Amino acid sequence: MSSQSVRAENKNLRKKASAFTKKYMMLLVLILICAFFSIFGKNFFSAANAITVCRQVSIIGICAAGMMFTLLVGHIDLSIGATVSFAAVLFAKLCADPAGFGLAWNPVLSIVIVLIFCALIGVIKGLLVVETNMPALIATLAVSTALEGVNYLITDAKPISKLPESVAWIGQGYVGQIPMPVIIFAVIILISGFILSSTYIGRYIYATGSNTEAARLSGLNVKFVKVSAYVVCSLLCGVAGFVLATRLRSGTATTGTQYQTKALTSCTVGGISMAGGEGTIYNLLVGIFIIGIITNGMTIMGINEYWQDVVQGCILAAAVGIDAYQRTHTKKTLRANAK
Amino acid sequence: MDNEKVEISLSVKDLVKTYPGVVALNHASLELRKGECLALLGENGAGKSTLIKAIAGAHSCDSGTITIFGEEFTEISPKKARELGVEVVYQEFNQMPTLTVAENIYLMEEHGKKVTVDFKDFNSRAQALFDEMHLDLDPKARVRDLTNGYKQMVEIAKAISKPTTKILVLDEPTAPLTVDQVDILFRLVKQLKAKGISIIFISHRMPEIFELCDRVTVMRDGCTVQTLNVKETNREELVALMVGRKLNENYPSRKTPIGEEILRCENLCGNGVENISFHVAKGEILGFAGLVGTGRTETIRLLYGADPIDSGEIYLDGKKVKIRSPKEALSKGIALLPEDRKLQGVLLKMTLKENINVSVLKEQSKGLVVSTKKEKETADKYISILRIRTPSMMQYAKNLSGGNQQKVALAKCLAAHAKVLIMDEPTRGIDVGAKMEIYNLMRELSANGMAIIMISSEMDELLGMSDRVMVMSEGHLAGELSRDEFDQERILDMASGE
Repeated sequence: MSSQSVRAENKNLRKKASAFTKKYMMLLVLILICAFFSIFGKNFFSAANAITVCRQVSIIGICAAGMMFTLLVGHIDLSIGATVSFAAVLFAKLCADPAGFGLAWNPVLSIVIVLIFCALIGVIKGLLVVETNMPALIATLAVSTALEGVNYLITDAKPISKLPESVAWIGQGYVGQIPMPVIIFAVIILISGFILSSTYIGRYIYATGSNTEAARLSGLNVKFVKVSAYVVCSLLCGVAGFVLATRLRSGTATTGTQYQTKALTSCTVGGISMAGGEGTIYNLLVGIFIIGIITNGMTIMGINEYWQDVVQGCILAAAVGIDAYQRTHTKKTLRANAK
Repeated sequence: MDNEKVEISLSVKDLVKTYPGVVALNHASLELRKGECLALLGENGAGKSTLIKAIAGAHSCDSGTITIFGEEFTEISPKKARELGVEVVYQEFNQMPTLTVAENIYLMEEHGKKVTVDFKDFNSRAQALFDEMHLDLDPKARVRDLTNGYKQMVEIAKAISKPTTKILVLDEPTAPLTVDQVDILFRLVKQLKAKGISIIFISHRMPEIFELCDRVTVMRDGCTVQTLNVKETNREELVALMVGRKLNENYPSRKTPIGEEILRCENLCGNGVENISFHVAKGEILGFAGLVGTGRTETIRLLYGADPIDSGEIYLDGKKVKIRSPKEALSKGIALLPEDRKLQGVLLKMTLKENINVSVLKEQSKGLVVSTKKEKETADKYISILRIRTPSMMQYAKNLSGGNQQKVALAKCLAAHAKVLIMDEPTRGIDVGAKMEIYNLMRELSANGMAIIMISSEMDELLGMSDRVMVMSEGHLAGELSRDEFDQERILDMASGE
């Protein structure tokens, strides 16, 4: 009996140790990457560059937060890029004058309208997935393709420029030393973190992603939770879209291209599981900054932009591959132990 | 038994196979003679399937030997078993649904050095095989379009299509078959016997055994109890051997009276079950008996709103209620402890605290924010009431033992203020100590007025715990027995549809 309890204790210790390394592994990687670029990249290690990195990751970071919600319920949203572009061009069309609809609406009203449309798009994505049971991958890819078309229709395939002076501060302004996009990003991270860690909605999200059937039998409305995740994701894409538009002071149909890949890479590198139900805001932040710093560092070192894409693709494959491998591998060892 | 020399095709000696907490095979032995049909008889979980899987090499055993045509093995691989002529038709179909019947039968056979596949040849050979079997089936039909009966016939045809087959194992082959198909199968078995092929035949249907088989080996609790000549025995003797044990007297007994009726279901239909009517009272434990797959789980899933009801009424406290989702069921005080604890019962990736509170999060919250204090109180309460053994409430559910996971799933039901608790196989796969704790808890709960509906495939616990037992057979209710009428043999009779 006692030898058994000792063994159980050892097992627990080992489990704790592996949980510890799992949690802090990627933080360590982040620090090593910083160290690497500090040594080999000129001017990498400076306060000014730190702020630059934050600004560079802010818009992608907002999208990655959206992606996280869909990943946590066990799904995925590959239409993030198209949704961001949609929000950017719709916003530009609504408030720019005279290039837009000729409305030159109040920016606040424009933002509200953009967010309403994005929420609707989220509802469509969610319903497609939960009502038909089609793979989220295909559903969101279909929405993405359709939205890209809509974006070209809205813009007539030309950039909409001349956004009013009054909205430029959202994308270009500063509060003290801190750029506005960074502040918006920080607020979104704080709110997302709060929702996930402290509210019952967050708990529902984790429960649904952890095991949809068990969650349903526990009395959760899992369909509603999943649709909500898509709505939140699309709303965050909307925010990213108008921040991007005000930053560039124009809206183009291709402005958000590839954002879903970058968002997905950030999430998975940070340790948010593709299987759902696992991952916190901490994982998201680590992931976002690993990708952001690699991009920033490579640019500083003067590495060709196309090589950066190659590197990002490799990172995505590695991150998802390791996650999937670990999952199947632990299952196998569990089965072996059971024997 | 007899002195003439009989040729033994297969002999199994002292097979032992254990799973954590369960002894699936306990020194099981059997002998199969050339050209005979041996019945393997036993209750659910007696070890029949484990035994035939061991023979087919589908899983290895802890000890014991298997001898096939004089070759002795302690461990046999599926490939080797097949080479020696062992073919098994399992209860679950192993088919490729989008391919045709003929392709399913012949695609996996050895085709030497040939690279191409001759589909015409497949079809003509399959047609010849079906003609020989007197089976009316188009070799070009897609398997997914067939009824379960025909699918089963295809599996059987596949097994006998191999010229190497010398030992054929049929695991409950008649369950999905129609009367005509059963006739075909029986004729086939007799033909095969005449060819010198040995057959192991598993069935719950007693008359089939008397019609078809030469000898019968009875299994109980992983042991092979006795082997008899079919001609020299009768069903009473066989049932007595199957049931064997006396009722365990150690179940906690009822100390409080049963209260008034709380839940009544009338003519529930849907999900493959028909016209199920039953009622349960406060403080009562209502058992559901029946073979696996006869609609017990389906019935209670209807009641819980997990699957849609086609027709029928549910009355709670005398009032008619509509239950369209588990959420509605829970809000009305009906809770379910599901059959599969890992897939349906607990959220493995979440902590114990989160699991226990998951159904009552809204009432533990102020606005949107979950009250950590209330959550902890609830978790603490049920960890101590149910004596869940865990280092802390922050432990992840996946790190707990089976018994403790089951208690967590139960805690979740209780935290949701259940008045009617449905328990589907509440003690499956958990150790004896934890089982006893669950029984004691059930008694405690019922003493406090909880109505409990329990599905169980373990006759022992069903009769030990229930106040009344409903017996199900093939999607409908076959009968109801009150405690003073409890009789294992009668339940078995009803369950096998006699």
